Amino acid sequence: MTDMVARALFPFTLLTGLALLARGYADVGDGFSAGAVAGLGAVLQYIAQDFERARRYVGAHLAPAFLAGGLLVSLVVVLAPLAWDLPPVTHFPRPDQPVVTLGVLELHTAVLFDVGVALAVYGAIVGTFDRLFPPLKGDEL
Amino acid sequence: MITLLFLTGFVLAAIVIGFIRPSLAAASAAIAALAAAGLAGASWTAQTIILIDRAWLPSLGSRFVLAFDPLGTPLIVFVTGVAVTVFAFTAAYMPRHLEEEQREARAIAQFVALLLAFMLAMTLLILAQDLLVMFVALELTALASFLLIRFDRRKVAARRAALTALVVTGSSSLLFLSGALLVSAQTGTTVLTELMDDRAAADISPVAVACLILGVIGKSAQAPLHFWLPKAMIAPTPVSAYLHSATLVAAGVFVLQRLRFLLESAPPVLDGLLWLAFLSIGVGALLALVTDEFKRILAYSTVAQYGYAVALVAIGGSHGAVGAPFFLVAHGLAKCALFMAAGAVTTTTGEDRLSRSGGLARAMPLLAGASAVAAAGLAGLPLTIGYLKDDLFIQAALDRDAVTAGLAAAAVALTIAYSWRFWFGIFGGPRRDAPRPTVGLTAPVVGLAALVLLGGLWPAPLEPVFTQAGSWIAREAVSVQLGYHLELGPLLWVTLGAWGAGAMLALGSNRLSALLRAPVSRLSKWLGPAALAQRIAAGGVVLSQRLHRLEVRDMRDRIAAILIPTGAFVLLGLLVHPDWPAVGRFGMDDVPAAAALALVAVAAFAVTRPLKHLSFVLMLSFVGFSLSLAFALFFAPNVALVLALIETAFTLLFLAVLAHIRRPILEEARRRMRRDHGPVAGTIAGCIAAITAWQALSMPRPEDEAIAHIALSEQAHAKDVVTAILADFRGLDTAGELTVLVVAMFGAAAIMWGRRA
Repeated sequence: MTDMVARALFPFTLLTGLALLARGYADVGDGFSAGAVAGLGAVLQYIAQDFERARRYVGAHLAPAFLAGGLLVSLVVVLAPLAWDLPPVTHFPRPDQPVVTLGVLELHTAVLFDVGVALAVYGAIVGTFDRLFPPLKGDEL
Repeated sequence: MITLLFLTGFVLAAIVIGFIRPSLAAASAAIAALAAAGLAGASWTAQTIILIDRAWLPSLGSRFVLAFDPLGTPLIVFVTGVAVTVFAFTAAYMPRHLEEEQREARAIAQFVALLLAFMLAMTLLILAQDLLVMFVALELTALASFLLIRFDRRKVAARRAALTALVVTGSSSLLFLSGALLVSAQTGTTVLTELMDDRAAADISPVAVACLILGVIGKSAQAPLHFWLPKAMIAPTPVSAYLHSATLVAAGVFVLQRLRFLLESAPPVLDGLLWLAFLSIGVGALLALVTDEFKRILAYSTVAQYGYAVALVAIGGSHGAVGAPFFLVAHGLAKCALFMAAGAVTTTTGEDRLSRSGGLARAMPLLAGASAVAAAGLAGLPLTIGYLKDDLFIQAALDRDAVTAGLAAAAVALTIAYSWRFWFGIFGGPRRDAPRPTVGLTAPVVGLAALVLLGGLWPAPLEPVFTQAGSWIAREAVSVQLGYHLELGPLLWVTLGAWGAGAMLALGSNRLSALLRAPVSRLSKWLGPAALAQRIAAGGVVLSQRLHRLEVRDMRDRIAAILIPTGAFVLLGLLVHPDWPAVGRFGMDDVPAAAALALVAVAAFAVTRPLKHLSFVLMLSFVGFSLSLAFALFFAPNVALVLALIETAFTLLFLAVLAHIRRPILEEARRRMRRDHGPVAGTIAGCIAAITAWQALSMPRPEDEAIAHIALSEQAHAKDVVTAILADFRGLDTAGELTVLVVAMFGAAAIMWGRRA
């Protein structure tokens, strides 16, 4: 029963993370909290479920890819402007240009930067707990 | 710009060829150096030609400016030109050396690549027209020198010598950096052409000038920072011949010449520099007279000779200004030849000490002849380029006063004495049989000796080049005649006097050496910088060990070691703050947040009591959660959310880690937990932190960055200021932190995998 509830909760935590990420530029939340919420959702799976099943469910074997990919996305956003002789961390649209919005989501490169942060934070949390949980048994605490 | 690309291209091509075909490494490097020398020579003009001028560190007023100018270009030609002979020598010397060291023959490619990298760094230094670019180039030369000295890395002495050189030249570079940053703060620029403006120069403090000067003194192996140079002689001979006679040590004096204009406003620094120069001449010459190893004699002679060059910069005037750059070239040619001659003799006979050699003139007549010319050049005898360097030196000293002239004459006499001792000690005396050195070992020495002779016989082409260089240093047109001054006058008398004294010292050099050896060695043991450095290092080790023991006793001590100094400084800052104790008013609105903070304080206090580990973790998480509540009440929902998430993750993390530790270990740790003054210290520290935070947060000022950020958020199309700061205004910091996180994660994972394996 516990593991079923936990499994059912995971998509919702991911959705909450996604919402925090999308709304980050207009309201409370940012890439870090988005990644952390999703990561904690994953930790819940480790606590509630069988280890092997949990790690498959949350994509633990992809943790290094999340870490490296997230960093890559962020660094590309930060450094790409250098190629056009602009200072690093130049975001688009520029202050005088209009921003296209989809509901609360602003189509802005800063949001893309936050996507990278969220991926890396998710990867870090899942990667850490994936290493710490295997020998854990309920009666040892 | 094209010139620069070509120059770098030659060098890179040579490195690549060297790694593909190690047997061609030295030859391709020699060709690259020749091409670079030709390119630089063809670019010589009396004007400054800007090669590149790019924005670089604008907040410090620094620009990446490289230029050919009358001062630098001749030195580039020299540095790359000498490299040709050094690479030729390398081709003959290194295969045998590598064999003796039992290393693979293809290691020569690595060696040549390092020498080429050094050549490139040296060229960058000479081209640089900005203090911070010069700093980077100085560091690059130090790095290349470190790698070259420890090339025979199986020798402990080589590794140790490399480290000494790196520490001395590298740490003196830090002094140079401090000077450059001071200059930047005082004038808003580090570009030389802008600093040469008299108004800018007037703003530069003597402290900044002194930092810059002291920063380069160590590089040129000037007393009392000379001790790294003789130790560095453990390096393969091409390194000694190239770096430690002609280029690396010249780098410091070259920078001194570049910055001569800064010294004009600081006469005391100039006087100090002159005394330091004569100290180096004295120390270097004395040690060169008593040392037994070939290369070490030459190293001490280099210490003394660069004393000449520093003295010329310090004295200034037309002779000083022309003499300083000319000296680098004249001395470099002779010294490089002598180093290679010493290396050739050692490679051929296996001997590297005067006491065990001598009488080799018959066995190796060509090498003996060429090195006699080079030694005469070092000693400043007529018909060699060395005569002209000493002539300028004595004239500059005479321009100043009689005392300086007397000291200069003594310096010349001492140089003659140790030059003779070196040459006669190897080649003179009763005949001794030895194998003949190979052509590859002899030819580069002969080539350089020919240049030493040519410069002395036909100085006319050198005159305009070095007059222009001198004019660049003096910042006005100077004119000096390079040639033989035979008219009766003080110059001739001082020169003849110096030669006479030198001849007498030379003839009695063996007896003099024997006489001086004991007192000099006793003095250097007692007062020598190496001994002094050793004593300081020993004291430092004892102190550091004591602090270490105190610090690592347990976790609390470790944290205290960070927090106590921090707290002391903050308290000091609060006490001397002019507005003390200015804090904002406390109103009814602040009550909920203050209550939440009180909760944090209670929880934090409880953590200091000895608890079970599980309760400890829970209590610690309570601190975090109540802090998150306080942030929420302070209208900082973003921070509150992040803190709550982090706290949740860390509580789980702590629990997971605790589960990995076996129960007996936890119980043992709990028993050892001491009841000490933790709560008292924590309360004091907390109160100080509270006052600081209250002071900072309750009275925001219009110029505070936070308020500017709020205003800027709108332009960044953000309604959430915190996200705008993290992703935009401070995006580079966030990217840096993210990089650290990812690298640390991969590092930790590697360690854990390693354990499992």
